[in-house]
Amino acid sequence: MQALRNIGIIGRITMLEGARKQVFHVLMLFAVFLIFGSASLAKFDQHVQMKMLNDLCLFCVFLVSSIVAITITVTGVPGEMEQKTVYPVIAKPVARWQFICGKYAGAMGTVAIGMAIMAATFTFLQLSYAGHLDTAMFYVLPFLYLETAILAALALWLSTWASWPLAWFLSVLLCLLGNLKFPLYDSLMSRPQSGFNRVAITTLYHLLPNLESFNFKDAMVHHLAVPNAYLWQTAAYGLFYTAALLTLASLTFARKEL
Amino acid sequence: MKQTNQNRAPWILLPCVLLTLGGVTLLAPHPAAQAAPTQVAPAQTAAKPAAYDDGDGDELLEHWDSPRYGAEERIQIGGAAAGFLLLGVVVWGKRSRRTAAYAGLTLVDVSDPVKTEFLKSEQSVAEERKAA
Amino acid sequence: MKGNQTMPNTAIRIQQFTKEYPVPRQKEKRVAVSNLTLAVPTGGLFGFLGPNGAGKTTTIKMLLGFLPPTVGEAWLFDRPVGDDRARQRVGYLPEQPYFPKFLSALEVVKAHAGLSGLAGNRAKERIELCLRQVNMWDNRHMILSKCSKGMTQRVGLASALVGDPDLLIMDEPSSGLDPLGRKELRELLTALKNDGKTIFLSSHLLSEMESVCDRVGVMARGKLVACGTPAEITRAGDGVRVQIEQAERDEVLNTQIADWGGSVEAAGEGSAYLRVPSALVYKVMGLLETRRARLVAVTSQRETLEDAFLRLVS
Ligand SMILES: Nc1ncnc2c1ncn2[C@@H]1O[C@H](COP(=O)(O)OP(=O)(O)OP(=O)(O)O)[C@@H](O)[C@H]1O
Ligand SMILES: [Mg+2]
Repeated sequence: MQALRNIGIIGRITMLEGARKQVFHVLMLFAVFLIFGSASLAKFDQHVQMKMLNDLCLFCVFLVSSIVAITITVTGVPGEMEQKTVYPVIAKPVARWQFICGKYAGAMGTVAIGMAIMAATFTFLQLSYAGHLDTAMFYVLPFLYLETAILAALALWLSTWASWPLAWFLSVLLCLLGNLKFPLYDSLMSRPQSGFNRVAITTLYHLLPNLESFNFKDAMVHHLAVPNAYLWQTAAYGLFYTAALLTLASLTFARKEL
Repeated sequence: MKQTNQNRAPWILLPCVLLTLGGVTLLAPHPAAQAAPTQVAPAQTAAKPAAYDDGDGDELLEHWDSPRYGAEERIQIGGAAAGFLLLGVVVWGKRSRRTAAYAGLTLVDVSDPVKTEFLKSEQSVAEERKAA
Repeated sequence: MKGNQTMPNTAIRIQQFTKEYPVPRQKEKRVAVSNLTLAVPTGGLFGFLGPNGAGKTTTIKMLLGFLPPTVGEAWLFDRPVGDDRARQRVGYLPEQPYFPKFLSALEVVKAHAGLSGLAGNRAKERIELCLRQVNMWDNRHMILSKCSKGMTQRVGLASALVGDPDLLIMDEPSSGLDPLGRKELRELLTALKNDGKTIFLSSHLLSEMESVCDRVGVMARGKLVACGTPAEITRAGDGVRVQIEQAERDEVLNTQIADWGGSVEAAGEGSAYLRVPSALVYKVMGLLETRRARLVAVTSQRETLEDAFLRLVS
């Protein structure tokens, strides 16, 4: 109970701090500009235009929320240590894992604010172009949020042992690799590889998050049906992966000398 | 020092954003490129159902229809669950060992004069000094 | 038997604390604290003294679980410091307290009240009381980035106190405070002490510590070189120092003092210090009267804490 409260308090402060960052404002402006820009780019007949609009907007939502998630989590914990704001907090009966979860919750809160802003812009565009809302949006956006949740957890774990620029770079790299996991694996394995390489590639392949799973953009763009069982499994997958990364981050942070 | 760093952050980030943007647009599979490279996933293109072919060139099998994605998700969920289980066992073992150690420690502390030496308060040290 | 009685009465127990920091590009490590064993009884004010780099902050960080000791163990109220619940009854004021800059003083103290497990009306009362105690109630809505150093220090103090801790660990609490603030801090510490709280504070301000500390520990180069009440640490000199004024050098007086085993030391124009055994102080007074020397001051020759500190750490 007190643990949840501690996480809430730390998360609230982190969220307020994140939403105040200049980087966040710049990225939000960038996103809104991009979404409106994509609307003016898509100058085709009604049918194709809606598709392009959806495609571009969802891509933009994904891009900006990933950057926000990675940037805020990657600077969160190292920033607290550099500015020494961590000491008064963990001198209270607050466990290290509670601190990590609080920082994470706060970052995800900031991402939620950003996503809400972008979703509102997107909704406005949809209503003004198509006249109605596509219901697919109600699961496409939450799954995008889940994807950024994995990215944020990944960035948080990296930031507990790497410097923040390195952690930022690695997170972006892993984000790209995670999205291209299957094609990459296929192209690597189609070449002749030594036995050791095969084992290494397969291990890495099974460790890498499968970010493409969370991308239901095409379902919305092309009005395709997604089986419910797959949605539930993917949601469970996202939660498990996030929890595993947060556990890793807590374990590394618990060993850290402050 | 810190102040200037913070002010510079957007300007450091901007090229990063542009680079990422460039990288993602180059790397991400977009409609035109998706139709062309058949060597990437030949098995999948062969198995595509005709129902989704809506004529805009985006005919790749979607991941939710591919058993491979579902299987990989289940493998990773299983792996994570096994990891949690292992961690739980390790933590539980450590905790019970620690509890046992401290339970033993209290007993040792009281009975063992060498170990209780450091427990003496300054007051008692002062008394002893006066007595000496 | 004795262990049984003293154990619940110890707020801090440190057993053989050693901390080594790795030095980059060098094999040997820098020893910040070496083999420190210390027991701080409940109640009273413990002053933790030492020159810069003596290892005070390192010890405090290990006590709060920020750093794992290389060797050794410690307990706060009989809970090992590795346990997060050890800090349940502890308030901590860092060397330089920093808080998120966009929060107001009230928000910071509120957050810390929440982290200490306070809620509802009790939290409200404690927050107001603590902010008033450190004289920040009128400025409670001030954003921390607009606060001066001393004000931030006060906010830090308030957030350390808000959980009503039984043990207060403070790292140089008076740094950044003005003379008035220091006086208030001294009064606050005395009040807390009278409430039965234990206070463990590190400081350089020896004259201040002398008046408020019940016990002191002196660290030098990572080692505890002395520990006890200030009276035990300062060397009692068996003598008095008499300051006199005389028109000219008085040889009769000087030889008499030398006969009694004292010494005379001229101190500038027409002034001198006599050092004599304290048993003879009335005899000396009589002598001074007959020799027509004017008495200025008689002081005990006991070492101050500062003298003792300089002697111990050099
Ligand atoms: N993170 C660190 N890495 C390496 N060495 C350190 C680190 N922190 C402290 N030290 C070293 O440990 C020694 C003790 O430092 P500490 O901060 O405990 O001193 P202090 O007694 O608090 O001094 P001050 O009165 O200046 O605050 C110093 O020699 C310092 O250089
Ligand atoms: Mg210090």
